[in-house]
Amino acid sequence: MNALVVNRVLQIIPVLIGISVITFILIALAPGDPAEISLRAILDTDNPSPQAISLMRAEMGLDQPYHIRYFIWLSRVLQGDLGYSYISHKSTIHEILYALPTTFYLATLAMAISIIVGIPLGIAAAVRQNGLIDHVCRLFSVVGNATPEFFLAILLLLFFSIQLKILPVAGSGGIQYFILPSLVLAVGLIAITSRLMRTSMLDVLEQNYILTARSKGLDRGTIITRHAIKNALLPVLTYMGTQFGWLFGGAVVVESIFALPGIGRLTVDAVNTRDIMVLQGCMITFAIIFVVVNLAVDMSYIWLNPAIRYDEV
Amino acid sequence: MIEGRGLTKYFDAGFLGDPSAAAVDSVDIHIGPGETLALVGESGCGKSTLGRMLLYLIHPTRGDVLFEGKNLAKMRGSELRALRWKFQIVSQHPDNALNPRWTVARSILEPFRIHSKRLNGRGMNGELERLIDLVGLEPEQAARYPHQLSGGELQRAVIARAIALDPAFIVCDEPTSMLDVSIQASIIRLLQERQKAIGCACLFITHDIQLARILGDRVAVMLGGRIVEEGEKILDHPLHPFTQRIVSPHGISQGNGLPEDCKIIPGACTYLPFCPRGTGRCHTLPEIQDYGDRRVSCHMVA
Repeated sequence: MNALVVNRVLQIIPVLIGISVITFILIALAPGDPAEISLRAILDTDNPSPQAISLMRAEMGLDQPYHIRYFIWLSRVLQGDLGYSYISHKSTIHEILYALPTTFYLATLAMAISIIVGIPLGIAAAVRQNGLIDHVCRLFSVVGNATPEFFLAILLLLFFSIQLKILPVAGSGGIQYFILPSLVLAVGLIAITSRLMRTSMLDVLEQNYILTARSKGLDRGTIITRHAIKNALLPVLTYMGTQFGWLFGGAVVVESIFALPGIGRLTVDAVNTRDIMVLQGCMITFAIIFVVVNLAVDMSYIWLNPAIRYDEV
Repeated sequence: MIEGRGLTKYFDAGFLGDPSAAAVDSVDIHIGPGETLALVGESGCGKSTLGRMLLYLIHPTRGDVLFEGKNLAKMRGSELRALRWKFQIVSQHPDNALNPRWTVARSILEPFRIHSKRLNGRGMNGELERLIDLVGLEPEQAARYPHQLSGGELQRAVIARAIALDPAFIVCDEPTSMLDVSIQASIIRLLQERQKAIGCACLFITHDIQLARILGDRVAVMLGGRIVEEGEKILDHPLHPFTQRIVSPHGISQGNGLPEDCKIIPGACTYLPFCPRGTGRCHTLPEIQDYGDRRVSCHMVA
């Protein structure tokens, strides 16, 4: 089992290198001259002078060939230096570490909501298959999954912030600023979680050991709590884990709408101003979070599943 | 001792399915104390559904199950559950008959936790040792998880769990069909030996004619949800054309069954499309009738 863990950890390295190359290429291929676009933001003018642009190009290292630029960037990253923002002149690491807790808080809250709502909903739908809850759950899943985040966000804003005026429109501060954004993120996740839990539960309920449990004289409630739920949870929890990384991606849209100063908004701002160093730093942060979360999910799967856990003993 | 009267089951056929197709259709069946009834038929003929209805694990659409004279359909849920230790099931797939998250020992002892009165003051550990010894497992194997045992070992564990409370009636639903040929015989012997020791009744569901011949005190042959012939020694002297077919060298155990795509004629005898002796009378469904040593459902037998 230790070999398995080491193996999985080592697999992270080529994945991260691959992601860094791809993001580098994508940024290089993006239309427009980064130096010019950055200067417009910095100088607040539509036509920066050619001299200023060429100076900026030199400062950003854009006068070097692509592959040289990549290796300069990579060697600095390996020394723990992600560069600095050409706009705010703060170091990229500082910007990211400042933004990360907000996004982490948002994603955790969304995850918690979707577990608390989605899993019981899925169980209830499976236990009374084709009952009222099942139908409501199915409708909710289709609608919830099909509704774009920005649309749902605007609907919720109109209702809770404009009509009822019980929640702030945008900005950051206490938990009240996180309620609507996390709700928006949670809806899509609840839709998937509840369906997955329902399917997994129905699958387990058809197993022979459930039939056996009934023939032993257990009542339905005990069968569901003692035999079914734990076995049905395993695939769902694994899936939820991978979704945590996905939530960071969803945060890009939601943070922009609700003006939350998280890493999603930092990324969008960096794209708009072609703040190359911050953008690459954000990308590599997303990649690391995604890869680490997936690794943690894999490890927890080994730990949760006796069929894997005891094989190597 | 256990008796099914007019047992009928329609499954929800879904939006496009045929709602008139009965999985089991008006079956009368009884098994006496200590008796083994071998139930044979092709896959999909309703054998398993019938077995599960007798255990009341599937509720019949129509008909009653009487166990020791008591109608299970009239019982309240809690009453029925309190009685459940008396009838057990050994299923076809031992690999998912035990909770994968539990050790084998925990699964074997589960019946005692539910029906703790049946322990009669004996210790759980002593019972576990007795049971795993009876079915020929090692104590180390009981401490493991189901995925660590082979199919045959799992089936032994399933049998240990089934006989834990000395039941009065066991349904064995093709208990060896998923196992290696080399261990089928030992599992069958184990079941026979335990059944004799406990003196319980047994419904042995199988598609293996030879197994049915060896094990069954009586044999019932099922076709399309109905019993077409039932009695002692019917496999040696079959009267129904379908029984004659399955005991012939080209019988179902040789994988030479009925063509699956053949349409059943509504209202007619189920076997009519295949029957070499079919006549006009066979377009009405024959009632099952007594012929001394057996019951047969065929117009041409008289």
